[in-house]
Amino acid sequence: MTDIHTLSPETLLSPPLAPKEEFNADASYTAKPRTLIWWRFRKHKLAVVSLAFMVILGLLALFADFMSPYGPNTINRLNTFAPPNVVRVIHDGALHRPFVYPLKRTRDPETARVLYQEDRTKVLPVEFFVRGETYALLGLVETNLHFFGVNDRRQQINLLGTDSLGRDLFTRLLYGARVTLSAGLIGVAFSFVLGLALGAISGYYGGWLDAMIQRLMEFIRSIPTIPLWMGLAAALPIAWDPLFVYVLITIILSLIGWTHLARVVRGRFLSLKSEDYVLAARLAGASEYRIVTRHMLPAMTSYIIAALTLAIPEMILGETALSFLGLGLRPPVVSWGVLLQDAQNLRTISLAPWLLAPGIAVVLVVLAFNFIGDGLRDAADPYGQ
Amino acid sequence: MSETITKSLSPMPQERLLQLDNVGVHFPTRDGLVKAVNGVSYHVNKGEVLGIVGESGSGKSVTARSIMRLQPKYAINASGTIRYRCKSGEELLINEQDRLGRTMRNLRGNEIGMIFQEPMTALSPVHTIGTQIMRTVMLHRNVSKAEARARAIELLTKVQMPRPNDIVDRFPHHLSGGMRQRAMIALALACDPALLIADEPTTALDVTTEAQILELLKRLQDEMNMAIVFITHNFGVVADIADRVAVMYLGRVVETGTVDEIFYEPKHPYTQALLQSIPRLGRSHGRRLRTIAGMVPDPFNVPTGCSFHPRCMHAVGGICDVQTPEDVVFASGQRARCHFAGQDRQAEAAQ
Amino acid sequence: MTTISKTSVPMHEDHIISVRSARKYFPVQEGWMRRVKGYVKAVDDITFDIRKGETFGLVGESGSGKSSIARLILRAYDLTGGEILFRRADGSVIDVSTLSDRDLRDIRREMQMIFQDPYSSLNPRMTLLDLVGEPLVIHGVGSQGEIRDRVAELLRLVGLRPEYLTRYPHAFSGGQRQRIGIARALALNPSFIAADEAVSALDVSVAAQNINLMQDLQEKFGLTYLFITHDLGMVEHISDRIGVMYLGRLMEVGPTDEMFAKPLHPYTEALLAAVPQPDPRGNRARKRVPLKGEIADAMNIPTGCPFHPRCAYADAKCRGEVPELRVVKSGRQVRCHHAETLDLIGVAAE
Repeated sequence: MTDIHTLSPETLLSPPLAPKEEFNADASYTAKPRTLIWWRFRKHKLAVVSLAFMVILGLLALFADFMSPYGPNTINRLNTFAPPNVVRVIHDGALHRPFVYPLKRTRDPETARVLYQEDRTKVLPVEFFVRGETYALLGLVETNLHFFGVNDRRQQINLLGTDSLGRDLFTRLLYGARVTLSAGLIGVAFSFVLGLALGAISGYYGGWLDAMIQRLMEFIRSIPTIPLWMGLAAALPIAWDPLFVYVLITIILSLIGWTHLARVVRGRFLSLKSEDYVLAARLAGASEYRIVTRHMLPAMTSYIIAALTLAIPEMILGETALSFLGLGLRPPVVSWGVLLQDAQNLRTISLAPWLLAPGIAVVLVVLAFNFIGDGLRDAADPYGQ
Repeated sequence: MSETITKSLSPMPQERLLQLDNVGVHFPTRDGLVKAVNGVSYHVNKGEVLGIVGESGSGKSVTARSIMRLQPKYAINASGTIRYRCKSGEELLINEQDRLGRTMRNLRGNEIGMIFQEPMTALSPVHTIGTQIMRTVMLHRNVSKAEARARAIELLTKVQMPRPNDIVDRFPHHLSGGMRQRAMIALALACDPALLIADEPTTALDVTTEAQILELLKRLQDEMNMAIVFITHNFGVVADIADRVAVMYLGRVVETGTVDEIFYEPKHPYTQALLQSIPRLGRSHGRRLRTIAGMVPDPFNVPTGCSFHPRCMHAVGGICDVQTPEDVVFASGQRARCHFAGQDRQAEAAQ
Repeated sequence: MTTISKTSVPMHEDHIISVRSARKYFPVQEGWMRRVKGYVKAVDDITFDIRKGETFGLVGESGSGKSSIARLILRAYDLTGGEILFRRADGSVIDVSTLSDRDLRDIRREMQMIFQDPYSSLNPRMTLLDLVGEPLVIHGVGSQGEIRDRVAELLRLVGLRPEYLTRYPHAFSGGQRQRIGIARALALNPSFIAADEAVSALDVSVAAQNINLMQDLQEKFGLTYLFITHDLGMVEHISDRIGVMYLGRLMEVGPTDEMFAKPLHPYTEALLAAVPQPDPRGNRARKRVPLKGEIADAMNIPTGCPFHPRCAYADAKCRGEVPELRVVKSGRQVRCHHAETLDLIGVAAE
């Protein structure tokens, strides 16, 4: 029988073949939480592609005046409902620098409809950094330089065609992205402030305050959104500055959108409150401020960012829906919802299907945000299993 | 005195109920292949209790689940055979059965019952205890509803459930932890299985409830002449219930023997060290505990040779860190997977 | 600083903690208006002292309120009633339960806690330097460089390499994380540490390492431990004196050796009998009669002695009258009407 009475200091000796405690400098051991989150996010391929797409789209929108060949409100009476130009590189069987074929405008003798035909004899090369309409880059530098265009007085390059007034749809799509995306971001920012504040109060203090906020959230969520939007939007005087209306619309959207975020924040606060390390910090003498800022908020940021990302598409869809119904933004403001108003009747769509392009853009952006949000949510807690 | 065993598929002896030979279960993970079970062999005879002890990561639960073919779908059955003798007497190669097939479904419940650490994983929260037991009975036996209900009450009485006539119509959340455990045992015993696999059934229980459940299992095993594979990390529990014991470490069985052999004449340095690191009532007050140096290695970096060598006080360079030891079999049938099992050097060092 | 109330009996010189008639009731709420429908008496009329430099073990089954005691002493919870006295390093005595937040912050330097779960008790987003150094930063002890040196020293003390300073907790195993928690608890040189199930989540071999470490540290720094566990073998191993809890009440208090050799309370006897021993022959030899029933619902504590429905020796007196915790002739304390007449069996010391 082995004797357990012989418990002497020799038991502290290390085994003969114990590995020399090597210093394993695995990078993940000292990696910051956000590095770990990024490593995990990277494994979500669809999210990474979506992120790249959104970054590019964001840059395009930011520099819309430079990236687009024309102004958003420049009317060309002789170029209404022009179909999209196709950028080609082969002319007469030979490789050529990127070009488009100019369009020849004719009229159908029977229906008097305007018809466009490609003139395959002439070549209209796509030029880069061309001079065009004057604008202020980022509202600061006055310039007339555009990223691309064609050097021709009569002909235009319309990558996505034109609308009923001959405005370039590609240009308007980029300008619309500015408004639509920023409406999403600003709306989410508002709901972030509301959601974070009310969610934090609810989760941190609990008690009757929590009960009240919970009931309020349930009440708001139970209101059908479209009628509510319609009512609120109808209350906005039509004479107000369109930009001001735009801000108000985002606030209306966020008044409904904050509940979701508040729920996430409250849930995190509740689960973190019972976390042992929060108690440990309290027992170390940490102030409430330190506990919230050093222990609770850092553990929440990634979840909040994920929730915010998932909230943006809701905002964008809201803006698009409102504007499409004519209750949100109104021309001359250019947003995707406003652009889609042109695609409201069947005749226009059958004649000029390219007017649906803003709709496709909305779908792509909403999908992209959802993928990014999914990726972030999966990566938000790099320490779990 | 000792010899290395030969691996072959000779027919199982008549008293043999279950036999595992060189079973390997691997899991592909994001960080590499985890060899959770790496060549495990043990057997259970009819009507005996085999205790399986090991620390976390030893693969004791994974092995048991592979007997029931209950591992996750992505698990790789890397090697080995699992044989079971059915009630009819014929041998069944479990590892070749379809995990969702008819044979396995019949085996589960009818031949082999299983109980878990957390009863709520086995009990459905939306059905009464009675309904759940009746369904199992009716699935495997050709009986009427009334007969099944009578059987359910009989089973609840058998597991010493207080007020069985009342409890039979209760939902699991109405019961206390110990009563849920009893209900789960009743469910597992519904069709008189010849083998019960108990996976840490008392770990989550308080010590007084644990004692009740252990007594119950011992009594049931005796009454029904049922074999039990009892998995636990607690040496005290194993000493209490098991006839034979298998000690597992890092996906291998390092030592098997009768319960007395394991506790009074352990041959493997790991078993010896573990037994010395447990405080014992009435003996260890104030004395220093013996420890095992280091930690259980993570499953991605299993040491070469004998996987215990970096923590072993008797390891010999050039042998233990290079060669994987084979089982050393002693005259009594005790087996230890150590190069020096039973040799003087090691016996000396153990003093 | 709050002085103790006039009615209190002065604290004994040797005592560092004195828990006196401590009560903690948690309200049970119901419905959306959060109406209070009753109270869970997690801790009810608990009185005991902890001597300076000793290890006081607290055992009990889940729901016995043993963890609540640690949290009351450290003032993670507020007391419902009673008082908890603490002798500071300078010899002054304070009532922890009535301290203001500011004074409490000061007292936290002298009393610390080690947690059960090595995973949830360390903030995964902080490096070891930040984790172990946090108490030092909070109490403004030393410059950045000094804190760094102190943390490195603390890590060395618990057997971890000081190079690990920049690592995050996920780089460590359960046992090592527990050591990080110990280093953190030691950062401000406390005199009293409450260890709540400190080794229950660890594997046998690792638990033994950490228990030995805790004993070494106690010797080195003259620490006083409150060691809370459900593991009777472990509590016997480490404790000088033990309190046995059942349903929020202390059933018995006494020196480890005496209590385990000859328990005075039937519940202690039943607990000791229930522990399965790593000794098959011994198990076969002793006839174990498992305790009947299960621990009562904390909302409906039985009348009289809370243990009477499960007690083999209970009589009419036990059912009707609540026993007090009283001192019997040997100087030990027990909450049982029949302590003098019962002859209970413990575990034989060898």
